[in-house]
Amino acid sequence: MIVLKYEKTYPSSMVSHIDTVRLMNRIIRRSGIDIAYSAGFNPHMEIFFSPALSLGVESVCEMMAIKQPSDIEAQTKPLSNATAKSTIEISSAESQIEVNASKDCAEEAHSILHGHNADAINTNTGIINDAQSILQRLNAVTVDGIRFTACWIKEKNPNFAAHVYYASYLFCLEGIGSLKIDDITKGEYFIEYIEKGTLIKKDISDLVKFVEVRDKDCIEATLACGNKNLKADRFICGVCANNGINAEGVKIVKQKMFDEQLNEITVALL
Amino acid sequence: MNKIDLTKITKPSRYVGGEYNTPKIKKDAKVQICFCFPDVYEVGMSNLGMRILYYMLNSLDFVSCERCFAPWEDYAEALHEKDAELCSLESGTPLKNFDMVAFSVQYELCYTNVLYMLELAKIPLRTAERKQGDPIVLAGGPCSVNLEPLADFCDFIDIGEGEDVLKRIAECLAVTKGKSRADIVAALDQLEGCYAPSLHPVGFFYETDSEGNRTFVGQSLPDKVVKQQKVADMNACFCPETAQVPNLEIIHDRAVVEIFRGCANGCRFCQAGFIYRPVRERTPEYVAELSKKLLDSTGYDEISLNSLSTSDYSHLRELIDYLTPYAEVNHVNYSLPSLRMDSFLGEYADKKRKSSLTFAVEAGTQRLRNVINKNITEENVLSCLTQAFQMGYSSVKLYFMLGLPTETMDDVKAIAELAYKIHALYNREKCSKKPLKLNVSASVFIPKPFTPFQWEAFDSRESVEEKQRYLKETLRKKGIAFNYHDYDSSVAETLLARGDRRLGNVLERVYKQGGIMDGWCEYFALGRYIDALKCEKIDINEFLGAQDVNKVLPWDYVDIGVNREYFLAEREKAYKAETTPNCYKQCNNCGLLERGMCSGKVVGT
Ligand code: SF4
Repeated sequence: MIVLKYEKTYPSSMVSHIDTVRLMNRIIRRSGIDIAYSAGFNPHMEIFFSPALSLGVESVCEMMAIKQPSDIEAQTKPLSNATAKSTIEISSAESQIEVNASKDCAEEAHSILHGHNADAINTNTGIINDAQSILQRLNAVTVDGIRFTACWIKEKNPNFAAHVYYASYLFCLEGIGSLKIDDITKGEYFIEYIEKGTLIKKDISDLVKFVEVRDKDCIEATLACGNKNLKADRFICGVCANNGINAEGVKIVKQKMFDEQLNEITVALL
Repeated sequence: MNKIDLTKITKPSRYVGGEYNTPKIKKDAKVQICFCFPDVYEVGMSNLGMRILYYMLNSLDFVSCERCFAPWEDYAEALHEKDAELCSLESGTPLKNFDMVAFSVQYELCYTNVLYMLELAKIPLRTAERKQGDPIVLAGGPCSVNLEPLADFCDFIDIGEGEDVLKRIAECLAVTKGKSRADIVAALDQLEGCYAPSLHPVGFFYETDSEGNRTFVGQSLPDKVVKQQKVADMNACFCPETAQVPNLEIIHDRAVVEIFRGCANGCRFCQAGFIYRPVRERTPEYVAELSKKLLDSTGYDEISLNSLSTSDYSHLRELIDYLTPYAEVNHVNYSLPSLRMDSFLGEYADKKRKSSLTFAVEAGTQRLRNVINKNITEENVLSCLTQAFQMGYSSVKLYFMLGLPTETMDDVKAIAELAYKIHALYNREKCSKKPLKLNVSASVFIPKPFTPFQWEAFDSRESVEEKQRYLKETLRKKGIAFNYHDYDSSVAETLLARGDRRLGNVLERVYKQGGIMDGWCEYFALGRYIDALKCEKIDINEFLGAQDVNKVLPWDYVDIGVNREYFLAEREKAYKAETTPNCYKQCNNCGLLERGMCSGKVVGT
């Protein structure tokens, strides 16, 4: 798996999640890096994303993972030099490969196949699969607002959904530092918003882990992200409304993602 | 650049630009042009003509060309709220600061959007109201063969294919830069294929009866014949080897290559078939080369090989042989739209996806198909479907037109009969377990300028609705889906397609009454047009009714190269249900040959 960290800033922050998927597809195709296509009538590349951003929210910590052909090889070809045990596991896993890309036995097979050389260019085939070249290639054909900042070759699908629980954001707007925020994490705290035409009043106190004034024009907050989710734009609009401030024009930048124990999501953790 | 809070706007990426492959915008170039597309981003960005001309203009060192699309209503409201004006996508420059804003007018129902965009840009609507320093407003595109309804709003109009003429226009703007508006417009009016309506007025004549009631009796023509421009050689004319890649999904979200321009078939209802004559083919090598370059530089995984009638292409097999290996290695799909599904099915049908098959049958009986010169027989359709059903296809779409000249209820009944036959055929031949998905669509025939049917009447509401009702009920009995085109919007389309310069006032009234995005059914209301016509004391039947062949038509000043006599002769043949062979088989002397615009055989064969 190729795991990438990237920034999504204006104007790409105005691109919806579903269009971002399409856009990434084309960046990857233009870059010429070697990636895997699914089998079947309508082959498509297999990409996995960290939790979707709201439209307009910028980020310096988005992540995605792309399947490489070697991931598929590792799953589908029985390995001649592998131990009898792992060979059996692989064949028993074959039928599930399309559904679940991160079966443990497939990982094991992959590490056997690649040993410690997963980061090297395969000089025999000319195929680019080292992190540095991948990063360079992608950034050469990216669009305004998308910049790839890190790349790793991993053996298993990082399964972002299982790891990401929180994300921290900066909210910047003139005078936003005067917001009264102390009571947000202390007991009940309600915000109001409109969803599908109906006004909703919601207690968000247990979706906010941390909130602090950085300076007079900036606050920082760590909010639930992933399965339990508090949209950053909804959060700031609600808090601003409670304080009688107009949130129009607020700039929101996602800074970091965290796991359940508030450890920062790093590649080692995935 | 206007400060709109885009998070409150639907599909904000329509308004931010930044697409991959956007050419470098030269803010210091002598001539600054903004291309305006009077429909939303997703429609405009799908337009091949605009893609070509945008790159062509930006390839000129003295020109910078940016884009602007009709914004959705919420964005327009935000502009009003901020008292801001419509700006270009690339550099956020107000449209009114450009030397020229050029509208690409693709269909009649976007005419009101031209007014909408001008007003949002704070450019005076009418030529007569514009002052020194206001941009020159140009309109062109397929509708340019009769843009009389927009004449009051356009400083000048260019008629025909834009590759060469737009370059000359840009050169003219460079030479006349700094001169008075009147001088610039006069200079543009001198260019071949261009004309400034304000310099060539038309007169309208009326008769008044003893009670003072006025009836319209005719018009005079502009004192200039304008020759529609055509590219001579599709292998030599400008063609970009790349395309912008939009950041949101557009209508035709794929790479597009034109394999040839024009159509040899001469279907008598089809305006494109006449105004884009003659057929000019590209070599298969060139098309394949272009396709690869487009795909590599955009990252698209799909390419559409476009033309008006792809199965006529003389080198289709060679082209497919060139492309298939590349497509397989690179996981690319290519599609061949408007492929006539007759002899080709077995070889070229997409074997993988078994997508649906489409037949533009157009009319129910062979008699009526002969009238319209549509070269497809029931046998073609059924034998092709027999093969297809045996291969596992289970989805078929049939397209028809209602209200064609000489049509009777027998022709309409034959539509249902054909659908029933296909239904029975499927049950006999199918190899798929799926039930047949048969979809019958019927649009309303619109008599368009520059066709042998340009004088025909537009069918009445009662008649069309009766035919639609019959088909709906009959087809429902076998569970066949029936879609039909809304009569009201076809009325407006006919009115504007055959319209004259008096409709300028009508369009302005429609627009002022809220008429925008008329191509979108949720926005369109015929009532606005009817009310506006009433206010202007214009009888809509002047445009919908049969036209007297001896009367001057509003577009008679445009020379598309095909003779009026040819249209009249084709009309006579239509009444006798006689067909005319296509240009691959023989030259029918439509007029292009004698003008030196066609060699009398299809170029490239
Ligand atoms: S001149 Fe002849 S061959 Fe050329 S377009 Fe006309 S009919 Fe066809």
